[in-house]
Amino acid sequence: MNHNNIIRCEKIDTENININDIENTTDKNIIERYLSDESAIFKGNASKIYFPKNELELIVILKEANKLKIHVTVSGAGTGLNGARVPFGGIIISTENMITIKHELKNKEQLIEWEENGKNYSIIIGSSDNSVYYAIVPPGLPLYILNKMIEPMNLFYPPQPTEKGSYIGGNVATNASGARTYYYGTTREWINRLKIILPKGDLIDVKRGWYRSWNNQFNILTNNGTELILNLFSHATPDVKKNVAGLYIKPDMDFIDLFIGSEGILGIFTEIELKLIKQPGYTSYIIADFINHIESMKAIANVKKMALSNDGSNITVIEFFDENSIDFIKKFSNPVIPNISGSVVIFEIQSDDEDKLYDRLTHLNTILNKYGIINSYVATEYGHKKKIEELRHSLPDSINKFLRRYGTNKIATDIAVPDKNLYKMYSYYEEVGSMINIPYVIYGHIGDNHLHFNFLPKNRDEVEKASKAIVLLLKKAVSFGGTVTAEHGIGKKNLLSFMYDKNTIEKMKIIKKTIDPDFILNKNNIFGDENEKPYL
Amino acid sequence: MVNIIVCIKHVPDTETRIKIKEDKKGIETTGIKYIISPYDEFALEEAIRIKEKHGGTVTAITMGPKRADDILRTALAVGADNAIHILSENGDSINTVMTIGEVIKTLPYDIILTGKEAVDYGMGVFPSGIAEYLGINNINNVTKLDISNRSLVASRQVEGGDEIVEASFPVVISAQKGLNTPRYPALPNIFKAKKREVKILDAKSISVPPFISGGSLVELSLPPPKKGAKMVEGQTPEEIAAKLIKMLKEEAKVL
Repeated sequence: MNHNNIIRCEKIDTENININDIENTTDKNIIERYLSDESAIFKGNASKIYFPKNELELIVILKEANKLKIHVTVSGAGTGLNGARVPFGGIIISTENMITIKHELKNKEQLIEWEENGKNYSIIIGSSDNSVYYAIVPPGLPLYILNKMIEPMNLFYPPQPTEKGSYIGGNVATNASGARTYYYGTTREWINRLKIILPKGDLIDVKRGWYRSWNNQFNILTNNGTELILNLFSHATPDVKKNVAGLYIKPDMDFIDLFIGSEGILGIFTEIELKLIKQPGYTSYIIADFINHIESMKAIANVKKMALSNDGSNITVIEFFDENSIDFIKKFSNPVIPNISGSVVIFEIQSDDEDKLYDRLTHLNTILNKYGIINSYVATEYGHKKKIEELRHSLPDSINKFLRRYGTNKIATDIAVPDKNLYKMYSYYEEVGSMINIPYVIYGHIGDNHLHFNFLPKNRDEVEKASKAIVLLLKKAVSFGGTVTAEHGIGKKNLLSFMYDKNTIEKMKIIKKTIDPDFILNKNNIFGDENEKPYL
Repeated sequence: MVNIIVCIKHVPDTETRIKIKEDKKGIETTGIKYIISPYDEFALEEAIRIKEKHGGTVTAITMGPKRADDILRTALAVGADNAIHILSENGDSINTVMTIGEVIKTLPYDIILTGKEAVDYGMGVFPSGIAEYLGINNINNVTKLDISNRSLVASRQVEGGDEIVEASFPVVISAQKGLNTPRYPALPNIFKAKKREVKILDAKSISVPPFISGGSLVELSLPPPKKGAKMVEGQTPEEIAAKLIKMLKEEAKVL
């Protein structure tokens, strides 16, 4: 499919579509709902919002915006944590009505339809052979609905970002990850193909493997005959599995990877082909309660060594909660697990074979018991597993209850560091935490050395102090070879300069400029104003 | 030594999105995940605790289709000694009471524990029904239980407070939330429980006295969907308050 290394845009006829016929509103009350995101850091403004139903309508809106030089901000479900969907002027395109796939079905493909909350979703499920499956989905499909649609077919989409209300389009734009990334990787590894509308309205269909870079370049030929040359380059990137700071660029790379995790600045996805696997036969949890985090971290380090051996059962998740997190959960929610008190670690184990599952659980339990453990519980059955999931989700809920009481917001990090520096980073968290004397909790995806350190300030003064302290943590993480954002993304937080020098950022910016010279699409994402302070 | 029987039921997960069958007499069961009814879980835990403290045996009984085997395995894993599965596809309350009652009559029993209701149909007929059928004592909605010398003292929830009730064995206790925190089974026991014997009985082979069911199911329907909140808008608090009062008078007609 590689035609002389030139990536050709597809011919699309949008003559029959009038922009005024596309659903839109200027109602301030409706627009209001799209002016912030989960982070609640930013509050934007916009004059109009469009709700395209398909890629043709989307193209028409983009072309019009380019003609009038109006900025466009794309909005997914609003579950992001970095302000990426917050508009600073211009118009909004919401993908919430882009929820169907209309295609002729190929061999071994079937259309799945689903009605939820009065909306009719559709996707296509196919298989190239008996064990390799894929789903072609629209960008406005919420993750939890995808799960409901594929579950009856015994299929499974492994990345599973924490936020189940997020849209798949947003998952791709942010290269979303979650607890299972420890074993299954990030969204990137599960994307086969994307249909992308470039900022000026050109459409490209990209399958993994179709376009490899050539002489450190990608050449795109647009419909009006312009050739866009994107110059790739090498730069030092952190030695961590999860890093979503800035554009993903390497001298030798697949074209599709440039777009995954590009935070909306290079294009909008209208069709996404995901890789699926068969639902694992058995999923179990072990929840281990350690006397303190030092013991739980020692145990985890040992478990991670053994987790590499593959014998048909896998440790797919390792989640960590420090002592403060557990205190918080006990104070603000009703923990359903009997008597937890120290630092808690949750392991998920998957296998297709029950005996192997049992062996793995037993082996894991034996290792855990070599450390300062208070108690461990095993959940193999649905009801017990559900309670552990509830426990996992009760921490963010507890934190939110606390913050609402004081009318403040949490000041959080999204740092991941290389294996060898996890302990050093943790010690630094404690050092800074006790120095500042504001309550904090540390929890998260310790399997990927990705812990969220959260200050919980009680007033404006403490918010100020905590923000300053976070800058210290970010600088330390980078000095340890880590990333300032493992999964949340840069968005409008202006953090990229912590990671890369001016020269590198400028080269990334040139790629954006080549595709979108007027910065029409999602203009404030990733590249902040260097004279402005970072948002934390 | 106390002989304890605990009656438990396999019910759809409380978060299940229920779909009603076309004939309106039942629910679509495909894709539903089942759990032990939460109140029955408290009953099971209490049974194990009594056994651990006072000695005795725990027999877990369920009546239901094949899939209900799962909860008997859980019961065995947390410490039940015996498990009986009465296979049945039918859910009539009176029939359930009498069928399980007939099985219990063949066993030694001092305390029969069960949840205050099953969270599927929420009838709450079973605890008092089984006590009546066996002609024994009954205390419902229990949140605290102390056993001593062939009798017990129970604290039960009533409107506005607690009632302390004493009863001699045999007695039916129905569990309310707050009675205890159910435990997790120990790892080796989970897998041992899968290989243990569960006594299987066919409900049809258990003869019960003739009866006329008190009622029959006419139709199932879902509650009406919740309407969205109406936002009252205005520039000043006075303006908003005035609009709210107008709406309460004219639209809601509550003033």
